[in-house]
Amino acid sequence: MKALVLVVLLSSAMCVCAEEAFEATRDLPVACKGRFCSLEASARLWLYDIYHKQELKQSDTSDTSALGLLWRLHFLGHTPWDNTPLFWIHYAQVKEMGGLPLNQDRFSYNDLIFLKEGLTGPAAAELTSLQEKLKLFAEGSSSSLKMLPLKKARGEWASLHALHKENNVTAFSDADFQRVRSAYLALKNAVVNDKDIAPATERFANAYSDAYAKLAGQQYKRAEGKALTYPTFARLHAETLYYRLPLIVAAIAAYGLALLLMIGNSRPRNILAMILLTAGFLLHTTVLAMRCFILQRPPVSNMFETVVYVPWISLILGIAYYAFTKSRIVLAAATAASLALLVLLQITQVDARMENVQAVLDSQYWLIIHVLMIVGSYGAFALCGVLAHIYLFQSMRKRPHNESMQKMSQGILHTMYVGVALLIPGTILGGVWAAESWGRFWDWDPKESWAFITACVYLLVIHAYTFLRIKDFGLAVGAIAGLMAMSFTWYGVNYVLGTGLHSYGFGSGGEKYYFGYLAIECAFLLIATAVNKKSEGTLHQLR
Amino acid sequence: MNLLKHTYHFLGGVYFAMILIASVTLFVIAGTFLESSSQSHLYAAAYTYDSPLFALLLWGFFINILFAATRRWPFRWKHAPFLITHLGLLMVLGGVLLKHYFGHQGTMLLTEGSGSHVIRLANTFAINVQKRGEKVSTSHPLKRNFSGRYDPLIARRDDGLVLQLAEITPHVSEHLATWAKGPVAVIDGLRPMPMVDVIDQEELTLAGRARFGSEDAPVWDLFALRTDHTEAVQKQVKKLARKTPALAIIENSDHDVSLFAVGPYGDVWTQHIGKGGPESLIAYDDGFSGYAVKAELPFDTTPAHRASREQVIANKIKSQLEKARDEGVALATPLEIFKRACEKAQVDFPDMLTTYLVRWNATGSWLYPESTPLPAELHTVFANMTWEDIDPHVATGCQWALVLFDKVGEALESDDAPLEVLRKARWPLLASLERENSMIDPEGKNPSVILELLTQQMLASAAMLPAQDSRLAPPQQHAAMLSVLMRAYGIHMSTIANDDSAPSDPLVLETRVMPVHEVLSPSNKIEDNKPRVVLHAAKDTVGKAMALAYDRSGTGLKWPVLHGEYLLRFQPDVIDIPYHVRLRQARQINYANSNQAYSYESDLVVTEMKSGMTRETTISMNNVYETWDGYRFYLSSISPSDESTAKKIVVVVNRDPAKYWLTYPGAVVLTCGIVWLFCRRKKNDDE
Repeated sequence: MKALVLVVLLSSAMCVCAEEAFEATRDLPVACKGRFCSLEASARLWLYDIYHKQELKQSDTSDTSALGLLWRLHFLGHTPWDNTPLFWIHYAQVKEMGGLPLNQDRFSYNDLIFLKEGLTGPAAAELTSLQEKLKLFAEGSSSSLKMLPLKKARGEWASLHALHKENNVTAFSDADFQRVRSAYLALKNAVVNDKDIAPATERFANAYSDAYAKLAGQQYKRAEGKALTYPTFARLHAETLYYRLPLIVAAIAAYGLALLLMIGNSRPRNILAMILLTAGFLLHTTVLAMRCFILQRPPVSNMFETVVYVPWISLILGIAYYAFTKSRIVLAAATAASLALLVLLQITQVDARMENVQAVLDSQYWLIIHVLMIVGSYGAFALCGVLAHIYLFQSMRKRPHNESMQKMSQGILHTMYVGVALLIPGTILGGVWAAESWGRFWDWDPKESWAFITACVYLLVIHAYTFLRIKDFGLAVGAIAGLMAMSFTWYGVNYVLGTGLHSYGFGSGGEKYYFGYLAIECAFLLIATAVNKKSEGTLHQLR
Repeated sequence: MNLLKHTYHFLGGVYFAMILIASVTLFVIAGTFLESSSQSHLYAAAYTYDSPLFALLLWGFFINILFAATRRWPFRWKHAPFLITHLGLLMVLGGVLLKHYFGHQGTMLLTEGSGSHVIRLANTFAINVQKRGEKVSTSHPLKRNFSGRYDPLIARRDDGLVLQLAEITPHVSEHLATWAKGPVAVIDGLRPMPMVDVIDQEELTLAGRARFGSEDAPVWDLFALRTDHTEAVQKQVKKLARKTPALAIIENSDHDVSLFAVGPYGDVWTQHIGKGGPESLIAYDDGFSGYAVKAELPFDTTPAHRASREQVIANKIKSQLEKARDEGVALATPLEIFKRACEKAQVDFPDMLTTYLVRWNATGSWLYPESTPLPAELHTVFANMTWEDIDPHVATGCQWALVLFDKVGEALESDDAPLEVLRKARWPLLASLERENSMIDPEGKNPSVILELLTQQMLASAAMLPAQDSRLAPPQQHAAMLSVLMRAYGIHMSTIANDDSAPSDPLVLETRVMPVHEVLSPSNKIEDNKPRVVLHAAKDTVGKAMALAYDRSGTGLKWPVLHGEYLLRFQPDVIDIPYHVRLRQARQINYANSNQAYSYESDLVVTEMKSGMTRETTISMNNVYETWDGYRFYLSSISPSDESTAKKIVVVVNRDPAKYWLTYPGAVVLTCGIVWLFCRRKKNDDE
């Protein structure tokens, strides 16, 4: 078992140490979609955008790193790669239209250059975006490397191509500029003549780093009550690492193994499970912490971040609950909830990009209070929901009402309380935020409405349970109903309804699967209820 | 008594609570799906959140929570968390209700540099009344009674004006009728003319004749036509107006109206009034006496004689030529050739030029026809004309142009689609002609552009054509050749006459403007509907009904009623606030290298009107300005995002009297209560 852990850890470490000629430039800043990110991050995102992978396959090209490809494109132009299959196509209609083989996913520039307009639906959208990508590829704008801060306009950066001219238009000092320039020209020479690239890269990276060091961490744009700063090297390095390390995959592996080990009940297995769980949790925390550090804001402003944050809260609650009650079943449920959501995240390939936050949301104080509370309550409800599922499964297996079932239903009730205690004040504080920032306390906006509905469902269950209208079984059923309401608030409002004021992070896709999930959940509840009725009947007869 | 007790316990009981929670939940779920399917918040709200049933449910909550607490009387310590939670709920609910009845919530529209102290209450209906002689207007909101219907009496004012609501229609379209008013076309001062549907474009029915200006002014043919082929009909009017000037009022089925005039010299003028209404209006007496549109046609009403008109043009040409001579400006090639010929013949150049242009214009032909006899003086001029001094290809080009126009000229000039004629004639340079034409005249409205381009093409391709000897040509041919060159340079009587943009005494026409409503079936998206009210306004013994369409922005026209004693507008209710807000500057700050906004900001100057105290402040999203007495100013939107024009902003203004002492503390109490409930429950479980 330990060997298995070793394999996982080693394999995740392996990915980090691929040698690369342009390695020295990985942490240099480059302008990218309104932000400044590390060159490596920008290269990987660019490659993912066109190639659907952050690294190239060995079979497609000799040099497999995104960074290397970007630099070479920058110096050599696109012609040498015109026959390399760099462009990923998803829809068969697009391939058919270009007369391309359907069993292939990636195509070269020369394969695609003759594509025309004339499709409908999502395939048309892919075609349009593909043509835009081809255009940028041919123009060289995707590899222009905007790395030179301009003197005239703070925050506006120019392409490295500007180094071909002698006059210094950058915010660098003249001496720095000349050093960067000569290093750049030397690097160009090395790449074009295919000489020893690494030392030239090293020289350029050093010259550029020295020049940029004077700007790093400085403000470049000021607005009322806030300002934007250039990233420090630490932030840039963190971003590079973030994209290089398969943190989420590793966390999934750790959680998965921990969950497997938790099923048994021997002491060494338990210890190992706890170690794995801790490791997974640390990786999970690292993901969130790195995003916080890189973006300088709480990691809760798009779908990707919330899907990472919710299971993290579930797990914290699970661990805290375990610490107080020693209830291993709750801990296992928290692990299962985290595992499920992270796997979902990995499968659906939700946009993981680090983006600027919208002006409307840009209030650190309220964003932290409101969103962390609401999304935190989702964490509690997710845990509550998983426990309820386990409870119903167990009850279907006709287990008598033993102590573990009792513990589980207590767990359901307590997590539900925590969720409600986070959701209702969080929603009201959201109203206060809205009243303070936009002038309305409550407007029956769909997101608000569904938060209200979710709260109502849980309140209904709590009232019914407290005043003894329903018992543990009903509580579990209610917890699942609440989970469905919560999932609609979280996903459905953005993706199914797609209307209202909370329009940040609206999207589309996956509706079919979501409705499928709801249907399965309903069927499960029906079966569980039917089985329960029957068993209660037998119980009654036995008495 | 027993029943009362049972009811009391039921109303404060958990069953009632659960029924309420469940029904409110169902309501809200329905609301979100209605909103999603109709894309209209108001539509969903009308059936759910704003419905009386929903309000009843909320009051049910209020009672339930209250009774649930009082039922536990006498209170004991163990009730505390329960009571605190429910007290918090009551406080939040009460705060929201107080805000609803005593607070303000409105918007203020500001443009950079402007200021206001009036806020608009969105989605409310009111009649805005302004009395003659008074600067300020009063807002009279339409009130609903208990059944949700509007109260028939809108206002009974101290000055005796009584406004009553006769009818309200959910959705109409409104356009301003100008020259065409339903069945008739109206020009002030003339008898209304019946609008006639155009059936056969070849035969247009004359609506009347009129003489504008003095006794010796020309008589105009008048047309009042309804058609969807405005341009074709305009062409036909132009054809008919060869001899007499004509004026046509043409309306299409979208109520777009065009006023089309062909002047005494064939000059065309048109005014188009489309969907957006006329570009400018005349307000008589600030609108109290109504509104009108004016058309100023650049045709002199005096002098009306052709001779005197020609004199005006001749004088103009003369003065311009003299000016050019004095300033030493080089003349255009055709004028230079003509001038040299005049000098050789020893005649006055400006005089001769005018004579030539007038005669050419009189033929009505694109080029000077060779067959037209020349007067003696011009004959000598053209006999002396030489082309050798300029590029020899020019003369060749002119001659070939004559050949071309001799063949297809007539067809070209009379046909509406000269390009088709050229295509049939297999003109080799058609492609480039089409391209250039589509650039200059993309809608193909002006066929003469093609003739001009064709002429230029001929001259440009002259080098490729076999030369002819121009020295042997008779004077008539020189006259015709010169006209080719002049066309290429855009010199013609009509261009010179058109250039005369401000005639001394232009023809001015006016007509009253009136709103016309068409009832449409209302859309589910209530935000897009334009309701209409029919009012009855009465004062003393005089009464009048009038229809007004909803003006969402409250910035449109106010309409006169009761012989211009009052102006009315149907718009959102407005209220005055005790602060005057002026917008200095608004700006959008973007993230680096992108169009994504990082911050929206506006610099405001806020003056408290009572004390005159002024404060400058900057508001931005998430950063509001609040006055000492609780008025809050929020920046809601800025448009446009670029620097193309002065920025407009929407400021949300609100005042919540209960916020600080009821709603927010209520939220805190509620939160504490929930946490306490949770902790206590746990302790109980442990026990």
